[in-house]
Amino acid sequence: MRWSNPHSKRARLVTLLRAAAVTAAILLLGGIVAVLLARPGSRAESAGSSLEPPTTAPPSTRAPQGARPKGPRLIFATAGGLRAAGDSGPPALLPGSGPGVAGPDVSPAGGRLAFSLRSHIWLSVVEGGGAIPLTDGAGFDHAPSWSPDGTQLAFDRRRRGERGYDVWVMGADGSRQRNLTGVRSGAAPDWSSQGPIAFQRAFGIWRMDADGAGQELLTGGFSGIELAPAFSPDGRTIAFAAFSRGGRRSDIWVMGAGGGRKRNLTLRSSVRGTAPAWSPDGRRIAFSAPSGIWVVSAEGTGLRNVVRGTGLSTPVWLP
Amino acid sequence: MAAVSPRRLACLLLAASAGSPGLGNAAPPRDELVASGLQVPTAFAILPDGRIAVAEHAGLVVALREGVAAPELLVDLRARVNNSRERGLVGLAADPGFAHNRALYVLYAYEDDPARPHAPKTVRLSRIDVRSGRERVVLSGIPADCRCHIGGSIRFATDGSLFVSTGDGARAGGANALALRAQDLDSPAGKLLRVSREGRGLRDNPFWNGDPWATRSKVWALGLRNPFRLALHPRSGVPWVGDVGWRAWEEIDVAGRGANLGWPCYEGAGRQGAYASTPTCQALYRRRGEHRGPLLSYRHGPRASVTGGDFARDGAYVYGDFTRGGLRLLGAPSRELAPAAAPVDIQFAPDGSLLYLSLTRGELRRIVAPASRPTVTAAAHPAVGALVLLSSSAPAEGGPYLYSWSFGDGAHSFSTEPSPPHAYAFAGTYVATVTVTDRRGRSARSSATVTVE
Repeated sequence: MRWSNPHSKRARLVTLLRAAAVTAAILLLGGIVAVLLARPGSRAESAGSSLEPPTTAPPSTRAPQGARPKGPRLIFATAGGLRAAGDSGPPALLPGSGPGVAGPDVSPAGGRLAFSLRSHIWLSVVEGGGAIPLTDGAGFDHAPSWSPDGTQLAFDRRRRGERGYDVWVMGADGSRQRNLTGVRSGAAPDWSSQGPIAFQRAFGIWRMDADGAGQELLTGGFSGIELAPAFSPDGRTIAFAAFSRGGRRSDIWVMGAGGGRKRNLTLRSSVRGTAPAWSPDGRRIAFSAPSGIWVVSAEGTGLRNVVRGTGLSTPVWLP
Repeated sequence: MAAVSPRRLACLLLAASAGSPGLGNAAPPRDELVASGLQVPTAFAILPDGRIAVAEHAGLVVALREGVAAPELLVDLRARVNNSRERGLVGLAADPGFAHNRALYVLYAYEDDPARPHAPKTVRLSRIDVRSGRERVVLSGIPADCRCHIGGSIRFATDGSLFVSTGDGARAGGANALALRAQDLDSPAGKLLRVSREGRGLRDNPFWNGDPWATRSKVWALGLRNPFRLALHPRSGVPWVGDVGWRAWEEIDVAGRGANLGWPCYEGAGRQGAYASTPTCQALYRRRGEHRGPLLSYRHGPRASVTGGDFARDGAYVYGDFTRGGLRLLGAPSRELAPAAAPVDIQFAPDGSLLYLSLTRGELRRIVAPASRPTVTAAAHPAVGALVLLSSSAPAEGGPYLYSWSFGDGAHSFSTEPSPPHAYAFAGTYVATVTVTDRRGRSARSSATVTVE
């Protein structure tokens, strides 16, 4: 199914009717979804308008950026803030984050970090050193994702007084905020290196052009509910999490950027993964699970628990 | 201290401050004059006694005091300052112990041969005792081969160390091999240095080699072009630097420990083609992950020159552009604050107000935000019989507001109407209360007594 311009009257009516239908259906699965989506901190909503910057460590505690033979490769959220994990050694707390942080994303050029904290989107650099709030309480904002040229961020927002999320886009300085989906149904956007944006809506994974046009359903609840799409670095494959009906399993799947054949990478495991993230070389996928951060190859081999612990979520790779 | 000659009498309007900046408010802030008549002012420092020390390009430092028309002369370095084009006295900071040691730190181009003012010079960081005028050179020999790109700012960290930003000192017409010094740890050009008050490199600096006097022991970050202004993040202590671009991008950089900010191999997030083929840049490109791109960049266009700014209490960051003019707020919601002319130094005062120096206008100015919280006063105006007109007044600049009236007789209204009529059913005395709420959810209330006969 492909939609025309979502802002035309007809499309909007269809959209609203469909949104109403899927909303009713969502309510049935609401309990299950609520449990499954309870990624620590990922939806920690706060009505406060305070924009206190996140806590940070003193600068002298960090290694020189220019001399890091084995720098941190993964960043992920914990109950206490963002952590960076190297290929070896214990994960170190990343300055520039704080409790309730989630959904980090590293800019294509590698230096900048966007994340959500207290329902705002923040901008920092990967080493920390202070962060700037880019959104200010017009809604509850999460899941930032960089545009391929690093000049924009997609994110999801639930406006105050509304029930559903939409996918929004803004400049990397917080300017020109605009709603791309407009039907209060769209979340967890991921911006492909090739231009389109994948997002979750109702039970499935959708894609659209970067201006919101051409919204198209890629998966429609084949497993129960599919969410957290992530484009591979070349933009040809989408990894996503699929929760089974009843919520007993959650697996990491891959499919083509236009949908099509789907493959379960964690079929032989009971790991219960979500929030997949591709390695920069496109060969591995990190994801979070109740037991920590895991990595699996894009072929489904080499499944490995790289960081053990509970309450770890939304990993992202450093270049 | 001698008063400055009447020729340059400053008009001082140090008015009561507006308190918290509240610059995220929707209403436009006001841009008001604090002092005028300054001669090409380049930098300022707020002294512990409330005076504001202002550095002038030619080599004077004067102090402005509230209610005093004539600025007081603190330092006269004119005989030692080369102020050819961008060279001059450009950086100023007060020692954290200024209240008892009266020490200022200044950064200026040193005139070693007045007969050849256009020849290559060097930049100095000096400590000046304003009581005796005695100068102690803390850093010297920072290249200023061109009459441009000499930096620089001086900022004290909370641990007492000094951050000093230096330019590449290289002429910018075309690609210039001197710009590559920004990548050389043994040159002080194009760096962010971190030193003790005496100018020693510090043991916890990223390139410390055991010799406190070695240049690389003093380097905190490298790869800068003209890091004219810097501020330290209030929580992390990490320097945020405005690095003036060449042809492509103006940068706001977060200069973490040991960060290589890329110049001249990179400008903005991308490679700078004019230098890309040099062995220095080729080697940097091979060291993947070493270059740290800017947090924020904007296109240089026909002309631009970023002026790194300062942090508001709420974590937002204000910066400016010297050649285009204007102050911008980075942080929700990002927007232009004021069309400031040639902002050359931007700092928040301890009371939260935002001060900036306009070089071309010779003025110290202040950005005053509208009241950060709504205020309201309720009043009752008996009309005919039991009909009472209630009114409330809230400052227009913070609006629009939602007005919630509780009339005291059990009736309520909830609207954007500040002055609703209300008819009381019975005679008596009532207390009517209005609560105003602005779009950020902040509220204020006021009550009025109503007597119905």
